[in-house]
Amino acid sequence: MYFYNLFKRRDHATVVTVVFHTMRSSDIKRAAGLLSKLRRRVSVLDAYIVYYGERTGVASSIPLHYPEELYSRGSALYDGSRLASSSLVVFINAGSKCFTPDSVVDAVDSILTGEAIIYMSAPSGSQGLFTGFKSITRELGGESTRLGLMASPAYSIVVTLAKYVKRYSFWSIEPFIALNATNTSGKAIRVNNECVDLVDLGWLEPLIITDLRSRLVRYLQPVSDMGDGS
Amino acid sequence: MRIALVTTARFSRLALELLRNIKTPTALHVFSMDPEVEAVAREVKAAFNKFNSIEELYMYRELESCDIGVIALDRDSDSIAVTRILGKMGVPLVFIVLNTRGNMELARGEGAEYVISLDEYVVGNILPIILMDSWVSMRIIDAFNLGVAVYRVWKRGVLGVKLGDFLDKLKGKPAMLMVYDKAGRIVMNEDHVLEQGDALILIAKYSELLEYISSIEKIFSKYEEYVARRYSEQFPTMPRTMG
Repeated sequence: MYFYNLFKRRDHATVVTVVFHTMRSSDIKRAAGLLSKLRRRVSVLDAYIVYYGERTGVASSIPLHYPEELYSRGSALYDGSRLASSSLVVFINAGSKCFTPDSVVDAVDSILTGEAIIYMSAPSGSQGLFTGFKSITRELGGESTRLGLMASPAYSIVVTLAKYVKRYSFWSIEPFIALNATNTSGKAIRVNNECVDLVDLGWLEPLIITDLRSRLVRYLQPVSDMGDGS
Repeated sequence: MRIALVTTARFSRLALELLRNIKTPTALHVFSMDPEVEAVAREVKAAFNKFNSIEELYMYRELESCDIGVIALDRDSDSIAVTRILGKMGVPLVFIVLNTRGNMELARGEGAEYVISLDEYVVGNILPIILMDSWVSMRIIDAFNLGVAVYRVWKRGVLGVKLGDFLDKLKGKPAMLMVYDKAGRIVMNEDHVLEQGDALILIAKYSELLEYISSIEKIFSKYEEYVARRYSEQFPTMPRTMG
């Protein structure tokens, strides 16, 4: 009976890889708590923390990975997708105040049923980053409709298939997956903007916006102009 | 023996150097995402296989018969993912070259037997020259768990410590201590008195280095105490008056 209950609690037989990402070492301990909450609802094959902050030698019960590029959230998420054993990856900001197991279950559901290729919940960043991102999407003209649902280039909870993580900017992978996904299907993006994780990005903010703008423009250049668009 | 080398163009010189120096009859398989690496494979008469994504490696059956895997890719995450694949394909011995020492545990967790981290070498080669009066330790051969610790003597060069004092403390222990003096000679003479500019070099198991360093440090502090006492007795001081 005990085992029956144990299985009943899980909403999915499908296994996922959970990738926590953070720049603050204090969030590493928190990730273990979030993972144990999540394990009750979703079958987790493996979990990692990608830590893109500067302090090394931090202890963690979850395997810890240090990306080569320091302070780069985009590189950290990309590395997380490379480490994943499962094809379905759940990226969670370890410092998020918006995390609930329900939002992850909902996201996994929508990916498994084929409703979406990427599910993003809880925009994360500073007010400046949100406005900057909006201005970038406006500049991109016709492409803005494909990224129009997104309030931020970074989300605290992102669920997608690992194979769609192909490109990244300094801070995000989300817009690139979204553009990839919309090539496949118009309804491929699901976004939940209800809860917002406000983070002070300080000196990183202008750097993130400039880098994102240039990388998105380069990505969307016609092949004839820019080779393979890389 | 069969060796599988999974690498990128960035490490092609390293790959060539490694494969050229294997003198025993060996079947070599080179796997890479970069077509440029094919030139290296041809140079050492190795079979070359180009793959487009890491998961494609599962399709190469020749990996199953390899005895040794050597992985050196640009990103640590890719190297760790390849380690996992080689482990699943039954390669018994895997060497992995990492950029960041922090990822060592993760690589070992995925089944890499020997981990070589580049940042450790770079930092370990620069710091002993810059830092004075502090210990810098680094792993030199991961397979033997061998480490070296270097201490550049500066302020403590006036203490008059003899190399023999340290050697007595380390007697019977599996560690080797020597001095690289400022003239560039290796000194192992017990009567050598440490001077400014000398470097103490300690070689032992990496995991035991800290233990030996602390016993050497105890001798240094004892000498510091002697010198401090000698000076305080020579110049009697008066307590400061109130107000």
